[in-house]
Amino acid sequence: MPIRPRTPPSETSPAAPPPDAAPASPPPVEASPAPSADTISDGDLAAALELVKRDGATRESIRRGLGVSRERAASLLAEMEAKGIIGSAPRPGKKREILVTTWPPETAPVQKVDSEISEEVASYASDIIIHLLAGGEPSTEAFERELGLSKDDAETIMASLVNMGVISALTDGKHEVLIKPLTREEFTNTQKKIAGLSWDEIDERVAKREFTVIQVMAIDGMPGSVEKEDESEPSADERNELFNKAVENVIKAGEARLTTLAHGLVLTATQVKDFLAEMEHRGIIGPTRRGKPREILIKTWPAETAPDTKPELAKKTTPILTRAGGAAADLDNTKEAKPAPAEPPPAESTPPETPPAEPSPEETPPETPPTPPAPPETPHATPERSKWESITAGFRGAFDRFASKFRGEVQASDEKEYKASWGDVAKNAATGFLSVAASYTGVKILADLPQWLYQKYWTNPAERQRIKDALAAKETELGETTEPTAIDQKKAKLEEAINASKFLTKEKKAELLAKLHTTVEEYEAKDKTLRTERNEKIAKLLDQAIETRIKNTQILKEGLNSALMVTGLSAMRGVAYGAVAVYERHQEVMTSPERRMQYWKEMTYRGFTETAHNLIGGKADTWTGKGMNFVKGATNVLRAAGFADLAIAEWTTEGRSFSSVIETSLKAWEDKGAAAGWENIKAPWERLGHLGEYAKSAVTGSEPAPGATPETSGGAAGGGAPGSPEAATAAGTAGAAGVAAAESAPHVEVPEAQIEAGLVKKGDGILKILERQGVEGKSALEAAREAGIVRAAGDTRLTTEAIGRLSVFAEAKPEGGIEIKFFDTETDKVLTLAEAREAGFTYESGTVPGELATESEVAAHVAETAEILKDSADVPNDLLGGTFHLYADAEGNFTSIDVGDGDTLTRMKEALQELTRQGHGDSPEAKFIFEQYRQLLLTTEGAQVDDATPPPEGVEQATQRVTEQRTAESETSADGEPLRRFKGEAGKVKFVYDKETGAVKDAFLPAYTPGKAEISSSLREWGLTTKQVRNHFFEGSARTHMDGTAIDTSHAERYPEPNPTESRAGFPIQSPENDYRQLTREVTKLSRQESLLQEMEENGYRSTPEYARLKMETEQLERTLSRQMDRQFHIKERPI
Amino acid sequence: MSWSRFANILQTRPLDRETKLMLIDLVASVDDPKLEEEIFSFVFAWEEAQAQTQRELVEGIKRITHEYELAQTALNAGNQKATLSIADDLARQKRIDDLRTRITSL
Repeated sequence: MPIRPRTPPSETSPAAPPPDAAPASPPPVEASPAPSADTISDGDLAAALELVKRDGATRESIRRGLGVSRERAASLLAEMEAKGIIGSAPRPGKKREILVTTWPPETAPVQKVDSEISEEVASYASDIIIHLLAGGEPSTEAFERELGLSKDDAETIMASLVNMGVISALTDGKHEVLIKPLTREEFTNTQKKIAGLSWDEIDERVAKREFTVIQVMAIDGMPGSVEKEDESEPSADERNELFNKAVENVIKAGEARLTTLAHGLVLTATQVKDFLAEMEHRGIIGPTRRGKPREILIKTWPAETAPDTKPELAKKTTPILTRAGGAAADLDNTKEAKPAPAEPPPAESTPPETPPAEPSPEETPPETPPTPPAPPETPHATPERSKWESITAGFRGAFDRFASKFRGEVQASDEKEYKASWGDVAKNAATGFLSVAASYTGVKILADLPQWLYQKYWTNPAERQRIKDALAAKETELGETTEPTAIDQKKAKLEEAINASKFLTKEKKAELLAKLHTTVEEYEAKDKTLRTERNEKIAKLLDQAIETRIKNTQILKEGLNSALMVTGLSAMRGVAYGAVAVYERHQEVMTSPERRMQYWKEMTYRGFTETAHNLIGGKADTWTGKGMNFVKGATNVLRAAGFADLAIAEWTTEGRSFSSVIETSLKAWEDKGAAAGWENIKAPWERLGHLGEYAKSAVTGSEPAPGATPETSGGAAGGGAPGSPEAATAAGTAGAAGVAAAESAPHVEVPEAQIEAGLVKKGDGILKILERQGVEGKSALEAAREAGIVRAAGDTRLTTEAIGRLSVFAEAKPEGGIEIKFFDTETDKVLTLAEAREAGFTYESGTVPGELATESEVAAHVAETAEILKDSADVPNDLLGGTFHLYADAEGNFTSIDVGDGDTLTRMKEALQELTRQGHGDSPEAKFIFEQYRQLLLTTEGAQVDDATPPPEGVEQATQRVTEQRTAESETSADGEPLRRFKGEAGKVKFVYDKETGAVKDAFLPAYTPGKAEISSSLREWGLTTKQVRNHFFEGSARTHMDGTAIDTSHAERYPEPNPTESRAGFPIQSPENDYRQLTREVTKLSRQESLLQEMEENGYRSTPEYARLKMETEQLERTLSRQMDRQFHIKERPI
Repeated sequence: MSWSRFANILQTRPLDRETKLMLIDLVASVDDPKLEEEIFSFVFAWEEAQAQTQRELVEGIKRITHEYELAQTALNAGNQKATLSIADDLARQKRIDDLRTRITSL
């Protein structure tokens, strides 16, 4: 075998890279790139790159992060794309890739370094394969120790080996070698498959994994890659001759490596390793050195004083075949071509530079198809080199993806940290179920459960003791042990009565006391037996359930593991470790629970997705698709049955279809006679399989799987104890029926009636719902405060999404008081407040607790659409007997209305009538109410009130002469269908249509709470900082405008102290916090709406009525905000 | 397909970290919504299986507890009987004493 040339990158081009191996690094960029945009420097791009790495490659992230205009952000984005810093604009809903890690490129020679590393490491491919075939350990440690690889290279190559299916993913802390020598039949088959293919085609197929590394290496004559059939011992002379030749190879090549010494010889992998060891032993080469090649200690061979071959080493070696002609021919004719010691070693006359004798057509036996010739048009791509390159290309593809993107980002120690043993899985499962059991039985029973249960799952005595102590502490805390039993009380009473009796003789007393004691003792003994029996039963039940959970989890785990293996994604696991570490770390430190989920989705997941996406080439690849189909169809089964390794090996050995892999594997499994073992895991798997089908049909709305008849709901129940084979089989054989039955039952034990009573209806508020359930107003308010639903500066409200779906109910707490809970009736999940908010059921707004936010309310937000109307001192703000309130901001401008209970329109009408009766019909208060009335009428009824102010004849007459707003034009989007909603980078906007005419009557952004970064960037558009705005509202007497003039503080009652005698004590009508929040909400909303408008334009929605509506509302909002900015901060014009 | 449900599984289910990592690996590396949905279906199916196991466990515990309570009730009844006989004995002695007093006074 020749010394493999270290192919420079330019020479590797003929080798087709894998389809999913597009280099993750950017294409090489000129050292001094000439920016195409005059105004965009490398510094700008570098700053933008940092931002997109952090927040994603969107215009909004750049705009907010750099505080630039949208146009500038768009230019930067375009320039980044042009320079290959980020990928091209993805399809909607997908994120752009980030293609480089640093900018400008001359400071980041990542590509170059990685390429060098790749080649260096790839040149060790043959050595590594020989090492593994010879039974060497598949570990970075072994690669360093035995092959002289550096630690980094060893780690890199480990990942690639996993990716290529040479070794398994890390399982139970170690990798498994998945390759094995080909049988003669397999070798012949491979030859036949290769016959007629050009080397380019072979390269392509290797890249697609239609040929495995070992197949190609076998064809190439790799030592040990084909099973040897001749087991006869070679003579000492034969062996010496071969050894001498191997030494000559090493000296000539100047490298003491496995591949080098085997050059031109046919040896088994074990023999190659033995030769190397012997060379070291005989002082021909130096010992292994981590990260460095072995030294060659002699210059000529045979040395005149060369010591004799060690007998023990000679004994260890196995038969050696001399190479006679091409490797393939040799291998194919092993039976006939017995070792021929008399023949001179052919390699003696073969210089090491000579390429290996490829199985040329002349040398190939007639029955063997000729091996493919080198394509004449690529003279440099000789068959040998192409084969080699096909192997290195496989490695390089992985390296490019792996090393260039996250080498250095993820430490090997991270990987080691996350080894999950059976014990971890068991502990997880056991802990989960113990807590479940505790909630049903109380901790007392749990503390009394037999010792064996704890010993089984917590092998560490200290850990066991800790759990027992915790249970005991909880037991004491709950007072479960302090209650005297009824029998003790009875016994005490009777004892007292007997002793106190005046009518009993001493003897009789003694007799009765003895009888009493006997009775109690008998009772206690029987009671103890009963309790022990019960505890044993519960322990067994728990044990079975835990076992089932462990099995199910292992099935899940194995299935996922297989999926990773077959999709070639396992090399990316390192990234995932990093991602999860980031996620978990942030989960710990996040102080704002409502942002947690958003953070996870937007930051951690997205960041990881993009990294991972780059690793696999950034595009959907068919290989992944195929792999996933395989996963969903078969691998779970195979893994669950514990023979997926076999399946994968089979699959990678032959280019078989997935179904044939399953058949082969099942057959192999049967041949193993492991049916009994299969029985143990069959049932859980079947259950999972059916569940999968059911879940799939439930998700896709397709027909349920055969046998999925929900009517036969008894299937899964009563089939034995949970976790038992009977139960599992019953569940499995009942198919989806059992699952359907299980599915139909709520996941959470909440009484139906309670859910029903708490279901949100139109017009509901959280407190109102609670009160409807019989909770006292005061208690409800206290609970709401405690839960953070009602706060001094605002409250949590229900959205329209909650109507008919979310149930709000109160649950008594053990320590007294009530707890407010949310229950999603669609998913049967109890939600926390943060989860309810995340799911869009609630939003943060206003100061009035518990009012339902309707779409119209959100759309027609007072401050955005109404004229600014000032509170007048002589007109009451509390109307209708104090049940109708008007609220104003710090400047006395009306901001919102609490209409109280009842129909909103009716209440508004009544309030207006009251004001008219009092002679305030044209007051700002009346105008404000009327404006809200008009807006509400428009949004809910589609009716347009022409009057801008309350008409003299009264609001009722005005209502009567409303004219329905009907537009003659077709108010649908371009394709004739209403757009309904538009989702862009900046958020989403929903449109409300008139039921009859289809006209767009509202465009609104669903309620949200802006983040600090968003507030900051939006304020920057106005030339303001968050600090300035906060100071403006919070610094009382020191309040000045931006130009230094003092703020008019004539509204002394602006921030009144809460009045404890009022029912809404603790909720000041206005507060600096409220004013600050309201302003920032409006500023961010305007920014979002403007961004959305621009995105709609870019997406071709400019001529749609939806766009027109959003534009109109955005302009209104901007006008309102401009007035406010002028008034509050003396800002005449928005800088950006 | 529910992201919140998926995230909830990662946050709350008794899974070891390695499995969570594998879940993230798969979901993150697939950009085909259908495949993503398939993975979600598989994971949710597992969650359902776990929930079913839990329901069965709870049912089992309820059944055993109920059986125990029945046996306890029977035992209590027996014990009640025994203690009542002692109480009867006490009362009988009192009645005897009463009778004796009444007879003496006749």
